[in-house]
Amino acid sequence: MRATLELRNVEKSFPGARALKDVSLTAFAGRVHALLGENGAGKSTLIKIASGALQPDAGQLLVDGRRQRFTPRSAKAAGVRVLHQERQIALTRSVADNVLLDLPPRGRFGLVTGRGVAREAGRRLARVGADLDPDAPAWTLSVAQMQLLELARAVCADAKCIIMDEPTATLHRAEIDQLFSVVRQVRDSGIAVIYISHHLDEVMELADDYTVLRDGTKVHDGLVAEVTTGELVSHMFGDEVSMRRADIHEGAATPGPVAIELKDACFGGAVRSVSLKARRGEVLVVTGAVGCGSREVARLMAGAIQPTSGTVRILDGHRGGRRAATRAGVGFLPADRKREGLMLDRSIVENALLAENGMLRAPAFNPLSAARRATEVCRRLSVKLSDVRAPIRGLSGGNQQKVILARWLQVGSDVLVLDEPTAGVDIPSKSEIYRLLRERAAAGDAVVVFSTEYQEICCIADRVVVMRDGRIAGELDGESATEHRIFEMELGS
Amino acid sequence: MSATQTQVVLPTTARRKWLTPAVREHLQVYLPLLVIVIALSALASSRNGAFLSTMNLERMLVASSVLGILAVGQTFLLVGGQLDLSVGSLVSLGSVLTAKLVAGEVPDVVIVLVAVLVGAASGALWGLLVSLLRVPPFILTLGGLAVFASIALTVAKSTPIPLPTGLDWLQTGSFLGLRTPTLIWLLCVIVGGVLLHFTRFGRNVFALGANEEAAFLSGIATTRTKIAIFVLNGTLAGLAAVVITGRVGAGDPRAGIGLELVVIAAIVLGGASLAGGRGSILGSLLGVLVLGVVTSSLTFLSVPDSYDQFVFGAILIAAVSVTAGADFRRRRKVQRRA
Repeated sequence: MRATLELRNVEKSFPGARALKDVSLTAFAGRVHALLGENGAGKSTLIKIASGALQPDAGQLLVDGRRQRFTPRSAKAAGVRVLHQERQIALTRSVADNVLLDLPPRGRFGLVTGRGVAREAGRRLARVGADLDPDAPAWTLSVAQMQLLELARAVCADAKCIIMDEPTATLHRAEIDQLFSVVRQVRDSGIAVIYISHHLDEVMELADDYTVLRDGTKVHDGLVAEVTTGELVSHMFGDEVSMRRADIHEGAATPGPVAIELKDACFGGAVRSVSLKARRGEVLVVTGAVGCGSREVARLMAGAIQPTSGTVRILDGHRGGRRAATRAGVGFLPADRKREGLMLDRSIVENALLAENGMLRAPAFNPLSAARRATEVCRRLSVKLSDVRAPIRGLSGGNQQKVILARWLQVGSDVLVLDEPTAGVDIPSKSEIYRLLRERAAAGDAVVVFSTEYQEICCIADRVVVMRDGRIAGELDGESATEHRIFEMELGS
Repeated sequence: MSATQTQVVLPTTARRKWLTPAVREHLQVYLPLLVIVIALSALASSRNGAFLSTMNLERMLVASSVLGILAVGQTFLLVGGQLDLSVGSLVSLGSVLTAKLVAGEVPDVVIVLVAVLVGAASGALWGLLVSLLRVPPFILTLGGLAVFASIALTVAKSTPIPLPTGLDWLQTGSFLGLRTPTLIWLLCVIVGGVLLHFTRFGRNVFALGANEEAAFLSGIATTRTKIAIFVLNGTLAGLAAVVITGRVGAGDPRAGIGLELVVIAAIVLGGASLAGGRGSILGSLLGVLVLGVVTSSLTFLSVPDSYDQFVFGAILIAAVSVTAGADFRRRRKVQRRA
């Protein structure tokens, strides 16, 4: 095995915190190396150092045995590429332009022509087995396709080591499979891949080696083939964190009255005649492949969009948009936290109390009592924070998600529509969110979760509705739902 | 959630520390502005003692009042992530209209009312177009700027309409040593400040600018809020038109030329972001004062007129670099900690 990227004895401190203590990591050519650890364990810091975005206090970076300086330029020149969680894509340009963003090919007279770019991009996309139209504008791509695009770009820039940061956070199973097959192709071409993920099943499936970080130190590494998921979890978190249904689901629920009812609801071509009831006192999970219409159903249920035909009854015949639904007590957590859920540069207080504004009672706003109320509700959800008046950008994904939940608890919402509530959230926060949702259901709230994560579904659901092509493909009892059966139903077999 | 309490909550009560992140952010913006104001005043008064005389201070405030009133309205727009470039021409048009009404011997109350209503109507138009057609306000109101300018010139036949009498209260009235235009400005600042920073409506404006989608999904009436801030801005532009007409003593079809950009410059100086979600009435007030002091001190330092624009531009670049730089560093710190 040939070591492609080597980090030796890396140390890094930030004011007030030690981020990395004597961490070493070796990624081998033609192998996938999983970098594991909960949020705050130091993964991001480590990849920032590997890509030159951060200077370590001590340590060495070697690429192909040669020592490199810690600057973005030299890391890039040495062939280290990072695929960030935030896509680095020029949305208004074509796929071809994006593939060749770094270095457009020059043709005759040294001019860059659209045709030349498209032809070259097509060749490069084919090389990694990414089936994309070079002429399509980038904004028409799905998240998964954007990832393939970025991967193609990295490979074609003669990358030796590609670092992928949580690439599957917002992908669905079929897309993950597609991504994995491309990653394997990349790996087999002799590139070292460093793969960061919260999903241990993906790690078991894809990775060859692993390194586990905890609190800035390396606690374990080895071969994936020689380790079990359970062992990895205990390496990551020290003591046991439960993700089993028995520990989260306290037993059969007694469904109460209907909170939201969809009757033959349609929305364009995305949702076709869906009838569905969400009851109080139960956790209903709606799932399905990407594009199956579940995302639109979530928005219908929250009142954020109106059905093109059919009816959506939210709480006793109540109608009339997202605002009225909010006032009637329907809380909504959107799938894309950063784009649709949070005001990233505003304080935690403002984010936690955002829904209060829509409720409209006394018009006065008192900053002091606002901070107190926000602190209270954040404490109820055990949000880990140092100052409620700091921008929410600084919180971890799990804590940001809890703040959005807090927003709805604060205004007393008793119908919760949650679209991917644990996307990009670490495992301890996940299990806390699951417990919270079960608690709400037990207290008589209606909880509707839209999820594509099988383990999550099996863990929390009283009832599972599977969608396919805008219709309901079937329903499963939460107790008997297994990953296998849900998957079969999604595929329609 | 009591079974596995793995996380420690560190609540900080609201009263314990006065230097909150928000306060710090404001100070980072305000302090450089105060330094500029003090330095320039010191320089100007060392050359000419009359700079700090009551009369000059009074004149400075009156001269800044139109800009100040406009800045209050536009601050709401910038904080809400919107923009109205048509205010410059709207002031010109309002001024011409006011002069016509004065010539027609319409009572002053009605004149003010008409000017304000015309402004509000213009604001409502932009608000509706922006939110219903989802047109970017920049281009839309740029069009408005041109159209209003042309209407003003046409109505006034391209020459200022003199006001022999009428609107005297704007020239002569004063209270507590403050002249009427200054008082109107002050009133706008106080009402605007309370509205933006201490009401639900104000919070909605911030939410709109910080993340419109998140605000909508959280049940906030984003469309209504958007239209409301355009109307508010138009209303204040109408008021500013009356003030400038009374102060100058003529209905000038060129009264507001360039004002739209100066207003935005003042607000951005005061810490607002063109991307929305940031800014304050107090900051905008300081921004306007800085520009007022700069203009006046240049006169006192007998700097030729041709340098005015240069100094104005240089201060804008310097101040924005300082605040933007501070903002960038702060953000990077937060992100690194994450």
